[in-house]
Amino acid sequence: MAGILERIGLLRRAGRGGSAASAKERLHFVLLHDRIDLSPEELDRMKNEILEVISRYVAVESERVDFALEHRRRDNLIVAEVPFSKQKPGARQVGSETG
Amino acid sequence: MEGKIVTITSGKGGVGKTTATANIGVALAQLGKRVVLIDADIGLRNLDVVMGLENRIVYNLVDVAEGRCKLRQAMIKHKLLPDLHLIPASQTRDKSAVSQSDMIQVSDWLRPEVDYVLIDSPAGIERGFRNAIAPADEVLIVTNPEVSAVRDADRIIGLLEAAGKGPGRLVLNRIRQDMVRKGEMLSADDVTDILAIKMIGIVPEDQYVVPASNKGVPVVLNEGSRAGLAYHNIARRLNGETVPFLPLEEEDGFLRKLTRLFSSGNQLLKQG
Repeated sequence: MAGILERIGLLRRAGRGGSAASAKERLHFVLLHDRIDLSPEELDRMKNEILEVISRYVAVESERVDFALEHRRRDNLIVAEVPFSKQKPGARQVGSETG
Repeated sequence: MEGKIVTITSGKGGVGKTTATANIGVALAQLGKRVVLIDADIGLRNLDVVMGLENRIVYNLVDVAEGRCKLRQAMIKHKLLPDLHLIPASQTRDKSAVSQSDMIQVSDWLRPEVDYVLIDSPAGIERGFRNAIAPADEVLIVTNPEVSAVRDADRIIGLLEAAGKGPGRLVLNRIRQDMVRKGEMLSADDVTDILAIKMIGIVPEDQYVVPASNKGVPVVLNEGSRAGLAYHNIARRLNGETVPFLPLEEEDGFLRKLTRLFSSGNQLLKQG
């Protein structure tokens, strides 16, 4: 039955586990890095500068920080995961969420 | 009305740029348009053999650029379509023999004389590519549903935008619907989603393409070829028509008959 449905195109998503899925995933990864066009040194510097700003307000758990490039819908994103422990003494109020 | 300059490029080599240029050119001429094809791949001349015009060449694009002949003398008339001409590349010189301003000059000469100038760009992102896009009013990017070809197309789109020529429209070549259905080939939707530009045509892999290039008769002249029909539709879209995308199914049966029906519609159009 699935075979017939597939043949007439009703089960287009049937082959999602095929190599096309990994082609798409790999392309997204490669294109993000091509498009941002920053050297590893520049990426590192950007990361450090961002952390420096965040650290002015909260205590960052720097060993667990993760920066990644991601593609969502039509957007290219720099996604930063920055775990923090508590507000830094002396910093002004910056929201109450905890990570 | 002034002629339109359309450059066909890809970044990666071997994706079917020259085949696309030849077929879209023939299809435009079949629609009654005056067309000149320019092979901008100096040193690696190919469009002449794809068009079956290799034995008629006297002068080439470099001769025009260097003033050794008049533009008319370098224009080779097609055997079947009197309003279709080819300006071949030089096979002995290299890309430095032609400049961006030469390309703009030649295009400006042709603009009042024809409806379309199609420029077949060399592969790569270097001087030859820059020359080919310099005079373009519109750019078509040819790619295949493969990681390396799509990546290169993305790079080209970026360069076109930076040069104020973007984003262009995409020709997705050599798609195999049976493999797409099995999840073993990127689909047209996948590629559009990744590159985020408009599609002007989806050309199926077709057994008639290689024999066509063997014979030097572009596949669009073969009425039974689905790739030929796809190129015909690209020409019509380039010309401003709204044409629905082909059913890509391979099986005989309803869809195949539908394709034939479209195909016979095109024959009427060719005669008209």
